[in-house]
Amino acid sequence: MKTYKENIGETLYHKRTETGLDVYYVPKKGFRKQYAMLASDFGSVDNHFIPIGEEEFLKVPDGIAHFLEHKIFEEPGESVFEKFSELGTDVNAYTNFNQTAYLFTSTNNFYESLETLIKFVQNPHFTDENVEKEKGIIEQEIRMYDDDPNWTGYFNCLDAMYHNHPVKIDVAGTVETIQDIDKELLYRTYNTFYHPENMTLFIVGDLSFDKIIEVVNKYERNDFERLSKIEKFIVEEPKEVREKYVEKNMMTSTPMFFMGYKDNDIGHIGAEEVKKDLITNIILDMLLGESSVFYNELYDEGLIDSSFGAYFSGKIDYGYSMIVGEVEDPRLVSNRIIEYFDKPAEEILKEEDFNRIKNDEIGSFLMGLDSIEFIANTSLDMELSGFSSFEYLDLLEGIKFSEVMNRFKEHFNKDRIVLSVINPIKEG
Amino acid sequence: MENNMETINIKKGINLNLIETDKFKSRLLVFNIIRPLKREDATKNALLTLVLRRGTEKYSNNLEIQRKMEELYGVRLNLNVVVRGNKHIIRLTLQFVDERYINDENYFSEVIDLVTEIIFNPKLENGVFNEEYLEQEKKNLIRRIESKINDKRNYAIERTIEEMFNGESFAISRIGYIEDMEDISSEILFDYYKRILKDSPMEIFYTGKMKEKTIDYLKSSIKTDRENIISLKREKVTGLVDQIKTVEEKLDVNQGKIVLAYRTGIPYEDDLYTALVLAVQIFGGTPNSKLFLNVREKESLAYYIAARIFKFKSFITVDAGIEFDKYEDTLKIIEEELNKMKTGDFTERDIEIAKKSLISSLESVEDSLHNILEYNFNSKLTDDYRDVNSKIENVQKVTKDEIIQASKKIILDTMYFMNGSNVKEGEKDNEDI
Repeated sequence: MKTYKENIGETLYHKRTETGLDVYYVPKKGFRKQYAMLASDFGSVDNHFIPIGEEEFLKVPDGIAHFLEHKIFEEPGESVFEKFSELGTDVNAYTNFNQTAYLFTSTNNFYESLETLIKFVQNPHFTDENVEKEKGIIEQEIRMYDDDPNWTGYFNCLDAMYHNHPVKIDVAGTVETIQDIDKELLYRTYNTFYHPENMTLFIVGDLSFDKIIEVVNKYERNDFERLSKIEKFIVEEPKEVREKYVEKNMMTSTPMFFMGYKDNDIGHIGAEEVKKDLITNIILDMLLGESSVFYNELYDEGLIDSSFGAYFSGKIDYGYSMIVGEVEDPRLVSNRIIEYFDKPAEEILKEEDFNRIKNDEIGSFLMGLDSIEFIANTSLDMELSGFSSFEYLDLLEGIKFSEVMNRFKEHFNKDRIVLSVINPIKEG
Repeated sequence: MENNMETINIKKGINLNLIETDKFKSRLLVFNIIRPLKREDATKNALLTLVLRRGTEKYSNNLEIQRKMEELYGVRLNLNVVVRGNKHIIRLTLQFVDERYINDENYFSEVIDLVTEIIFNPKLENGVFNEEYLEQEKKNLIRRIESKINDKRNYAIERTIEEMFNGESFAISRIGYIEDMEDISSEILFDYYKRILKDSPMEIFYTGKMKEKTIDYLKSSIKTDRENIISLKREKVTGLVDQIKTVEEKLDVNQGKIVLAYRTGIPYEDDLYTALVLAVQIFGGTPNSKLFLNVREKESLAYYIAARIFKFKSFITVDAGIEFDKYEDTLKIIEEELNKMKTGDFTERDIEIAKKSLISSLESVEDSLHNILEYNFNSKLTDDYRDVNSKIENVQKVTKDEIIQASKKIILDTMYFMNGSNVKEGEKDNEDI
């Protein structure tokens, strides 16, 4: 399948292989760099499910998706890093709430690198010894994040916002929870979520789609049994926030503030999900962005500085607007925002601001297309939500001001706010 | 990548560097005002980048500037200070959408107007910068200086560099000093601003599709008067170490941070420099390096460990995040691995891998507007106009013997450790399992 967008001069190819793996390719003529990303639709929130071939639900320890990401790199012989290094290719991986992705950038040897990527992700090699060894490394990764006030304040906010939903749990888990991870658990989780039907391969560069498909067909494992839908446990999540205020003392300078609005308009997929995301981010730009009256008011009063910002993030079963910054007086700033958002929508949301910010979003997206990493990351994320990034500009241009007004009234509810603060440690 | 930069001298000491490309959907316009890195000016430079954002004659406040940027399809504007060796650069970067997507003939000239407004026509009050804006930005800058500690890895590296180059200009903080702010009044800052527009070397870069009309417009927009231009000196590079400096800092943190800094005395003009870059790659530059394999993969001591080279001063840092009580163990492995570099205990294959990694990053420069610009700006600063291909050829030629020679010049200068404030001498970390 081929989608071509004349107005932006980009093409997207798609094919599903016999094993059920979705392969996407965006050609970038004249680019030296090539980028491939093999991702599992499996992230830290997928922690309670029925493993493939079993019948009972299994609750896995916090941090297992991330642990798995580390361990996939283990091979019986020559290390994965060594193989890629020999090809002059940079390999990396990441885990977030919803995905685990393995990626590389190359300038030569793309097809050999692709072969290596498919082989290492599809052939796990876990032993008791190599699983134990990894715990020390991940412990240091967790401690590094424990010293990061931005990370801590952000997760404290989500932890206070949610009663049960696993988005409240740190992606890497804790030093304690990862101790419960062993070889067997990793295999059961792997076999469930690393099934080709639950994976996507996204490629960008100056390449041949036929050749890509040829390499995939040749090297992908085809001994998987068919996967019926993965049964995931659905947690009950109350509409209210769990706690309205949380704070922690850390080695920082100024207090840091993380103010979250819990989203209860959930359950959307595809275009609806992407549209809600976009509309909410436009509202936050209109009201709190650098071009807004309110931002400049707070700035001129010395209450905030350029570290202040806001964004919305969410998926099918959770969502939140997050307002962050380094501020001297978190309570005061938070009260001012609540007060401001309490005004009638007609008074603070202006159509001219909306149109200007839409322009800005269009420009941003077009500029993003200069980066092969941006294309792959954004497109993959949207494809996994069931939306084609090639429809993004049309969707954006089709947003109506009335939709912005409605979303504002419904989402920014003062009863669903969490304030998380990181305070500097007082000496002595 | 062909080196297709065309340089036009617009005025005394002001160059317009044009790099023609049709590959991208956006364009980049960057102004570099180059100053020497000096304690007396560092805070002023940082403050200027903040005050200039506050308003111009035409756009009287930040809100109006921001709205103009949005109208122009999301122009990305960044005003900041960067350090390259002993140079302190005030940099204004603008990224904007290529004209072909926008049905507006005046688009590019409006973007140019916006930049020149910000740099050359700041909003004034009584003939100087607005007092209130300046006081606010001083406060904001103080907060930024204080919040360096929030990024502990970076903080540890900066502290190490500060100790290592104590007394030299390279130790000076990019964003200035809290105690230097009091003496900077609106008058003083405005005089300084007027002076640097007159006597700083300026390098302007533009990448994108060229049209004569727009280039002429850009040239004619730079109206500033020029005087004698200051001259900038090449950094001093030395490989001599009198005594190893040791610094331990106790903070209320969860992870220890070790930083080791080494001098080499091999300037980038030296033939051995490329061999040194390769040595650093093999030692700790990639996930296949000696440090990564031994400190992380074999001993599980760290999540991150990396060696890095700083081009203008030719020094190397190694840094890792570890348990508080693993300082000695980690140090021992780093020293052993460095010794192996010096005695040639690495293979031809290690060299091939390091070369490929270096070549690959050189090859991918052409795929990013920012990297293209940085590459060409570096050519100017180092007076080295070789293109990517000839640099690649140079990498290919390096021999094992040269890498050993370069490694032998790596000498430890400074050792830094961020320790926990609650850890007592000899006490084991109680969470150690």
